[in-house]
Amino acid sequence: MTGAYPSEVVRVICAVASPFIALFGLYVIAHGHYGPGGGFAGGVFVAVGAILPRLTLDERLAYRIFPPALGPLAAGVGMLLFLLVAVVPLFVGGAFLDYGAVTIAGMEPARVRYLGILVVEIAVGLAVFGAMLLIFDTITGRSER
Amino acid sequence: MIELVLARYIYLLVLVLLAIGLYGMLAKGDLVKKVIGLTIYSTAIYLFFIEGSVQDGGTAPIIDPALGSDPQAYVDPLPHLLILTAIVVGVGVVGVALSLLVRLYRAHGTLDEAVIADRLSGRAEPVGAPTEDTPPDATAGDDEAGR
Amino acid sequence: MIVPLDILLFITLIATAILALHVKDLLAATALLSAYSLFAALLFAGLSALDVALVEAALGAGLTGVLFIAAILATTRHSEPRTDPRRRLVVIPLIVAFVGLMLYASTDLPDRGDPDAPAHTGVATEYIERSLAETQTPNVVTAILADYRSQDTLGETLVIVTAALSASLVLARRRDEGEGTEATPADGGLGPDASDDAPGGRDRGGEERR
Repeated sequence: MTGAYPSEVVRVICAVASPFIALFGLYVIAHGHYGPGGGFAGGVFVAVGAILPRLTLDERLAYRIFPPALGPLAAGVGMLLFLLVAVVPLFVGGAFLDYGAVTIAGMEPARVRYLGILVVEIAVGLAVFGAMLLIFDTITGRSER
Repeated sequence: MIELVLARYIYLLVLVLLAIGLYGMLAKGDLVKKVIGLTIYSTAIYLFFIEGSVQDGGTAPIIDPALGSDPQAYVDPLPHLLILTAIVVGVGVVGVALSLLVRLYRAHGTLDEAVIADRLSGRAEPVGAPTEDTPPDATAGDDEAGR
Repeated sequence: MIVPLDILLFITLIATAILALHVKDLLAATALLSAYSLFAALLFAGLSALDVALVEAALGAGLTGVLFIAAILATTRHSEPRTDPRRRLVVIPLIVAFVGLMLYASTDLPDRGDPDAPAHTGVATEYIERSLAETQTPNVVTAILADYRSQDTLGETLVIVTAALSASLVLARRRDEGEGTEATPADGGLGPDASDDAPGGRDRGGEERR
C-alpha cells in the first residue's frame, strides 16, 4: 500500500498537494478562534499531509520528511504541552486549567484566556497529528523504520 | 398528524441506522464487518446528538457581530463539543480494533469469527501460528504460552 | 435544515449502510463506509454544525477509509458469507426489542428545533452570552472546548494518544520473528498501564521493552 504509485500523474499531483494540505491544517489550527475547525480538525489535516506522501511517493522520500518516530514524539509533546498549560495556573493561586487566574502584565484576563485557548489548540493539534500518524504507521507495518 | 411526523421523523430514521449498525455488529460473522457495523452505529449516534442541538432559526455557533450574543440566534454548541470529542475517540477505537484484526489474522490466517472462536477454544487446529504448538526454542529466550 | 434534503440524505445514509454490510468484497464495503461518512458530514453541515462536519469529513470519510484499506490489504479482501441462520434468529428479535424500547423512550424527547427544549435552556445560553466577553473568541465551540470544558478535552486527548500507543503495542514485532525489524518503538512515555482499548497488548509490553 505504501510506496511509489505507478502512475506519474498521481505522484506529481500528490507531491504538489501534500504541502498545501499540511499548510491548510496549520491554518485551521491557528484560526480555530474565528471559524470552524480548531485543534482536532487541523491536527487531522496535518496528519493527512504526512500520510499522503506515504501512500503515493517513493518510500525513502516519504519516510524522510515525516519519519515514523515523529508520531509518538508529537503525541507525547502535545500531551505534555497541554498538561503544562493546565498546571501553570496552580502556581499563581488559581484552579487547575483556570487560565484567567494568571496575570500577565499589560493584558486583561480575557486576553490571557484567549492565549490559553490558542496554546491548548496547538497542543491538541500536535497530539492528534501524532496519534493519527502512529495509527497509520502501525497498521501499514512501518512504525519501526 | 403531519406536524407530529415532521417533528419526530428524525428519531425514527436514526433508529433505523442504529438497528442496521447493531445487526452488523451482532449477526455478521466477518470481523471487519463488525467494525463497519460499529462505525455505522457510532455515526448514527452523532447524528442523533446533532439533531438534538438544532434550533429553529439558529445559525452556526460563531458569534456574528450583526447578531450579537443572543442565544436564540444560534444553535446549541454543547452537543457539537461532545460529538467532536466522540468522533476523534471513535477513530482511535477503530484504529485499535483494526490493529487487533491484523494481529488475529497473523495468528490464525482468517478473519472469520466462528473459525477463530473454535481455534481459541481448542476445538480445531491452529494454522501457521507460532503460539500454541511450537515448543519453546533454546535460542529464543521467552515462553510463548503465557500470551 | 431543509426538510426534503434532510430526508433524502437520511435515505441515502440508510442505503449505503445496508449495502456496506451486504457486499462481499471488503474494499467495496470500505468505499461504501466512506460514502456513508461523507453523507453524514453533509447532514452535519446542513444542520449548522460546521466544526463537526469538518472533523467527520476528514476523519470518517478520509482517515477511517485509509485505515480500513490498510488493514484489509494486510489481511484478506473477501469475506466469507457465513451468517449462521440460527444466529440471525436470535439477533433479529433482540434488535426489534431494542428499536421498540428506543421508540417508547423517544416519546418523551422534545420536538425537533424546539427552543424550549431542556438542552437549550441550560448552561449553553450562558456560554453563548459570555464567551465573547470573557475569552474574546467568536467561535463558541472552540471557547467551550478549550476553556470552559477544557478538562474533557484533556481527557479526550489522553484517550486518543493512549489508543494510538495501544494499537502500536498490539502490532509490534518481536525481535526474533526474523522480519528484520526492531521491537516496539512506541515509548511515548505513557507506558502500557494507561491502556483503555487493547487489553491484549498489555501483557507483552514487558517482554519487548528490554
